[in-house]
Amino acid sequence: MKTLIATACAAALLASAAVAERYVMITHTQGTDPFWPVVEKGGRDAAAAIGATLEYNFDVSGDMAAMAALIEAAAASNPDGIIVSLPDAAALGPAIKAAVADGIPVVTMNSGLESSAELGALMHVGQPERLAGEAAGGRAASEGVTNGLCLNQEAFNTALVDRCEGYFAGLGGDLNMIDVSNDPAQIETRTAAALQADPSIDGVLAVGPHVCEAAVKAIDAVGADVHLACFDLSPGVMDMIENGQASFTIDQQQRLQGYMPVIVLHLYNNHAGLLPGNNIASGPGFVDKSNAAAVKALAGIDR
Amino acid sequence: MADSSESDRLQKETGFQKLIRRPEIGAFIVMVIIIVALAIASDMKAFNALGLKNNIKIISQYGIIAIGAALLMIAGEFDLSIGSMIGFAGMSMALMLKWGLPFGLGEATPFTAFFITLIMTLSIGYIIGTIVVRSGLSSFIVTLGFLFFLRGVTEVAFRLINQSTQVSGLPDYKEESWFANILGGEVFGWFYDAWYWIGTKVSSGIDMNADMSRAERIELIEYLGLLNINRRMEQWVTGFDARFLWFIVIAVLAYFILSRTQIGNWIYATGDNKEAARANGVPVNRVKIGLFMCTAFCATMFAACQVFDTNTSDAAKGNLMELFAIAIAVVGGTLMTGGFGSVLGVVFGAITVGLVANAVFFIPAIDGAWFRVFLGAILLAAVFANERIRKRITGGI
Repeated sequence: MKTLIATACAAALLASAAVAERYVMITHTQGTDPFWPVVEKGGRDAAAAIGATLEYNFDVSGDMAAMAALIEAAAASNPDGIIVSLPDAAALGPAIKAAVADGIPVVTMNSGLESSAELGALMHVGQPERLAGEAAGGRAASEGVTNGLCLNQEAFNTALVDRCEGYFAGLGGDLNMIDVSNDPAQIETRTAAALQADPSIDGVLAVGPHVCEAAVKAIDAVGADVHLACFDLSPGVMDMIENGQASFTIDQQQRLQGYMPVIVLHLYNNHAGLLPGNNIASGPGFVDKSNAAAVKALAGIDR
Repeated sequence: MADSSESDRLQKETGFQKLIRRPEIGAFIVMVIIIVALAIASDMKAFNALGLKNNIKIISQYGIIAIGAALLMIAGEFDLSIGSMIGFAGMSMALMLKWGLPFGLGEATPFTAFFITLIMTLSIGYIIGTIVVRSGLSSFIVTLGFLFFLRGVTEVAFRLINQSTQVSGLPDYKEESWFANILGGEVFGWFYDAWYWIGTKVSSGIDMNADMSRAERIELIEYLGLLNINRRMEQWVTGFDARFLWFIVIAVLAYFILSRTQIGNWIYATGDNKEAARANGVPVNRVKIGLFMCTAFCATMFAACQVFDTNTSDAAKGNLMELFAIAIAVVGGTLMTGGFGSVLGVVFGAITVGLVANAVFFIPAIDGAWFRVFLGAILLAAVFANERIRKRITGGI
């Protein structure tokens, strides 16, 4: 009986493999961050669109070794492709390299841009932070900003420093970044201090949503006429954009990080290795007054 | 001091000699140096209407937790869980305000959210204190455990109840709730009203001209800022943050208890020599447990002032604040091994560290990253100064 079931299962697997492509997505969420369900839904929608199946997996412990084991297990099931977020290339690298060596196409997404190619992944789908900062700076310049200030809550976090450096590259001018800490009271007082110290500042970039929410109070208190731009979405930031306190926020559009890899793998598998010539930048996308209401309605589902 | 003897003990001192023998003198001198240096370096901007308000905001929130930490240190124990306790209290209040009271008790008001949180944090303080006195383990280790434990509980609760680790977009409770307003609103409005009134007298006749050059405008804005007048020629700042009031209340209470009551003597005796104190009938364990509850109370006040001020909370709130509290207590002349310290010194320490935390941001020429460099240097300088003073007072013990 057991053998019969096993044979039937194997036959069913073979049969389904013959008709539908099967992709596995593994992310480093711990299951409760509201960011990742949006990625998962993107992947499922893409799989539905092309008639493939998508298996989504993560380890609740957030442990990189456990995540590497998931990648190994996925590779052992011989899927048509693996989509993986890459927060720690050293820990996940061997598992990814092994999968690639077995002939399984791998696409990395979200984090891990710099080590994606080195591990043999086909491509990476994510937001290059410096580019996103440049876009923010360029747009701020076009909206009249001449002298900027970047508020960074984690001055040692290279991704956030990249956002600040990009902002000044887009704006023109030397990096003027202050470490505002994660304490909302100090974000406010340090921002106010910096704005008072240099009254010629007319543009502020906050590289986190909670920093943006605190910075708006400082700008209010100083009474300065300052252009405020943010990074990432939160209910408070959406309200600020709707009532004009912030000009825009940069959205990394994580739905694309789920959707695009499935499409890329599908095209790669079915059209003789068809592949875009470059990584796909999922962001920066802009959320401003024109689309804030629409984005707010989709927040947590498709945005 | 080498040429003094026991017979000099009753010798009359001049006022100046008395002054330099006070335990707070080291903290006081450091504070004055910082204030003067900052005023000069920032071109007085650090002490214009908004600068003063913002500096006092940071000084007050540091001061609130530093006083709790200092009282506990005087009694010979440490609390490393202050920062995580702030995060826990902030989480508890924000989640109740957003998702309602636990066990389906309905909507939370700022009042109920605060008091239910306070009951929880005081209970945790009681548990920490009881573990320390009953087990005889070092409070360093026990509270280190609670540092991780409470931060973890905060994160888990945020994720389970709120999905996201940040609560934002809460309504502004200050507008309808008097209770939220006394924690997160403004106080001492008369001070800034008076400042503005004087400002209008001093600046009468001055006006913003459209044909002024940019440099002239900036110079005028800076001048008006010192008179509490904004660029639209209106009153600029309307009051201090409410935490200034709570800082004063807590400092005065702590000063009174420590220097004027029996409990104050018990605290010093407990920290100085626990066994001798116990032999003399001091309830050493109760004193310590009470002081652990006191630091939990101070942490809760810190969190409440922030939550009702900004109407947000996140899982990182209060991170590293336990170390700032201890640093301020030490800058203020509190002895790490207990038995020595003063509330006035801690107030001076809070002013010093609070100014340093904000100060560098008023000086564009100095990168903000220097703040911790200055803080470390001041901490060491203050400890050396305090150590010399303490040895002189206590006769080299």
